[in-house]
Amino acid sequence: MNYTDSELIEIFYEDGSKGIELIFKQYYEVMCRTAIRITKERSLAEDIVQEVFFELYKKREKLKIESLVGYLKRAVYNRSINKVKGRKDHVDADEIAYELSDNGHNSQDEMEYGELETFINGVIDSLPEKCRLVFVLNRFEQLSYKEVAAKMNISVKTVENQMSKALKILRAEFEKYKYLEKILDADRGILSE
Amino acid sequence: MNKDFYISLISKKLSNELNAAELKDLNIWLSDDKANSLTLNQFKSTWDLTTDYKSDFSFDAGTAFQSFASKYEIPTTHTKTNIEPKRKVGVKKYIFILALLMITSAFIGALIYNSYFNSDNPNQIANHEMHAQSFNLNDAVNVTIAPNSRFEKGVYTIERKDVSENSSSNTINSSNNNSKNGNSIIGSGNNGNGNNGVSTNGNNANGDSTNGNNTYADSKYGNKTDGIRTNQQESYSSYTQDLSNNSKNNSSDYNINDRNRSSNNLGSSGLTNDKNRSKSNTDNRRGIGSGINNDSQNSKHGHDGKNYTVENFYGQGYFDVNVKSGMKPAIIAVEEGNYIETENAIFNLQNYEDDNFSIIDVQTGSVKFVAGDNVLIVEEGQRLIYDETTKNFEKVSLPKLSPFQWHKGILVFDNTPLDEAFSMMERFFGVDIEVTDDSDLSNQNFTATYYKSSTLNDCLEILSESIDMDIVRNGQRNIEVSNIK
Repeated sequence: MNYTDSELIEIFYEDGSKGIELIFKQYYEVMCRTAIRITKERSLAEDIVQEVFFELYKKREKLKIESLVGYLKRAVYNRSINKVKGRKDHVDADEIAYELSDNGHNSQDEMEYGELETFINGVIDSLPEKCRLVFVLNRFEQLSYKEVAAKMNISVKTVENQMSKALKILRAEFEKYKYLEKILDADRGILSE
Repeated sequence: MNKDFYISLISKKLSNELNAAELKDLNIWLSDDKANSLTLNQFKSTWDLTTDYKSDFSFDAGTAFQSFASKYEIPTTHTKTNIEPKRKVGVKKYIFILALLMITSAFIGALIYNSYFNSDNPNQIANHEMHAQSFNLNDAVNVTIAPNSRFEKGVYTIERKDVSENSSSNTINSSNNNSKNGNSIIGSGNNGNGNNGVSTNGNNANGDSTNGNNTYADSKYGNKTDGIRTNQQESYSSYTQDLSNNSKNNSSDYNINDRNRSSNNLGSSGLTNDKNRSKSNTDNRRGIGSGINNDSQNSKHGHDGKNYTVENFYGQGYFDVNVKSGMKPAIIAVEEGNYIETENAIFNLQNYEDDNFSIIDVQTGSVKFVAGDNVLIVEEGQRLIYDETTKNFEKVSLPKLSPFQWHKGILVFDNTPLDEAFSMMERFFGVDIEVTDDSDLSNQNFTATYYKSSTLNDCLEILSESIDMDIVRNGQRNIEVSNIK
C-alpha cells in the first residue's frame, strides 16, 4: 500500500520507528536508483540511501519536513555527489584530455557481449566523472542546468560545456558501435556462406 | 559560429533548456543544410538510447529494511496491521471491496485457467510469452531465473566475516575432500552416526569414501516438496547414494523416442551431451512445482544449507552478486555438492536437470566454482563448461552474442544447432518439441533474435521460414516437427 507524503509524515512524527519503516519501504528503491546512477556502485548507493534514512530518523524531532520526496532526493543527491567527489580515484574531468580511442572503454569488448544496453551503460560509466555527473543529474534526475550547477558548485556555462561533451562522446561511441556491428554482421555472413 | 556552438544548442534542446533566441538560431542552422538535421537526429537517437541507464537493478526494500533496522538499532516490533495511517473512510469498506475484488479475480482466474490449460487449442500455448522472474534474495544477491527453472532459498542474510565459526555449525567442505572415486563428499554437522569420517566444523574436513559411491553425511537437511523446503529440522543420520544411478542423464525418467538429436558438442568444448531428445511422459521441463522426483532431489543435496544463499539450483539463472566488504561471500549451491562462491560478480548459470553439464558465464567480476576436488576460478568474459559425469571442465571465451540477453526477455539464436534451438524453445516456453521422423538435424543451424513479447508462435513461424520443415501443434504442449530439409 502506498501512502501519501502527508500520511507518512504524520505517522513519522507520531511514531518514529513505525514511520521510518513505511517511508523506507516506500522510497528505498527509487532513492537507490538515483544514488546508483550518480555513484555507479550498487553497494555504495544502498549505503548512502540507508544513511539518509537514518539521518531522517535521528533528526525526526528537529526536522520540519514539508516535502518528503524533496527532502530525500536532496539528501541523496548531496551525499552521492560528495561520495563521488571524495573518491580517491576522482580526478577533475577538465584536467583530462578525453580521447575517444583511448578512454578505457573498449567497444569491441562490449560488442562481444552484443548488448546495446550494456554498451550504453558502459559508455556513460566511462565518461569523465564531472561530465558524467552533469549528464546524469540533467538527463535522469531532470535537474535544470541551473540546479545542476548549484548542486555541483560549478557555473551554468560549465554545465553547458559538460553536457555537450557528454553528448559528443556518447554519439561517437555509438557510431563506433554501429560500425563494429556492421563488420561483425558481415563476418557472420561470410562464415555462414 | 562553430559546430560546437550548435552541439551545445542541440544538447540544450534535448534538455529543454533552449530560450527563444537560441531556438531561432538552431532552426536557422538546421534549415541551412540537410546534414545539420541529420546531426540533430543522431544526437537525438543517442539521447534516447541512454534512457535505461542503470534501470535494470532491482532492490528489495523489505529485506533492506531488516538490515537497516538491525544496523541502526531501530525497533521493529510492531506489525504492519497496526501501522495503518488514519483513514477518513472506514476500513471495513475497503476490506469489503478488497474481498469482492479477490473473489472476482479468483473467478476470472479460474475461467482463464480452464480455457487455457484444459482446452486443446494449440495456439493458446503457442502464444505464451517468455517471462523471466526476478528475485531479490537478500541485500547482496539478485537472481533472474529463466522459465522452468527452480531453486531453494538458503539463508537470507550474508554473515559477517569476523563472526567466529561455531564448532557445530555446518559448512561446506570443498577442495580438501578426499574421495577415492573422485566424487565429492559433503560434510555437515550433527551427524548422529559419524560413520563417514567427515569433519563437521569448518573448512578442512577430509572425508573418505571407499565404496565407490558418493557419500553424504548430512544429518539435517530438509524434505522438499516441489522444490520448497518444508521441514528443515527433519534429521537423517546418513545417506548414501550411488552416483552412477543418479546422474542427471537418467533415461528411466523418460520414454525415449529418439528423434536423431545430434550430439551436442558445446562448441569447441569437446564435451558431449548424449541425452536423446525425447517425448516425455513425465514433465521433463521440471518447472517450478512441476512434479519433481523428490528422491532424486533429496539425494543430490548433502548439506544443511546454512551458508547457502541459493540451494539446488536447476535451470538457468542470471545472478547479480554484490557482497558488502567485511561480509562472507554468497554461495550458490548447484547440486551434488557443487557450488559457486563469489563476492562480486554478475554471471549466468545453466544447470538443467536433463543436461549432464553445467555452464557458468561470467559477465563481470569473478566466481569460484567448487566441484569436488576441482576449484575453478572463472573470470570476467569467461565461460566454464563442467561435465558432471566425467568431472572434466573447459574454460572458453564467452560467445560473441550475449548469453545474458534472455534475462531481459530476449532470445538469441546465433547459428545455433537446430536441436539446441529446440531445447531453448522447450525450456523457455515450457513445451515439448519432438521430431517425429528421421529428419537429419545435424547440419541445420538457426539464427534469429526474438525481443520481448515474442511468443512461441513467433519463434516457430520464423523458424519455419528459415528452415524448411513441417510443424504440427499437437495438444497444449506438444509440438511435432518433421520433414526438416
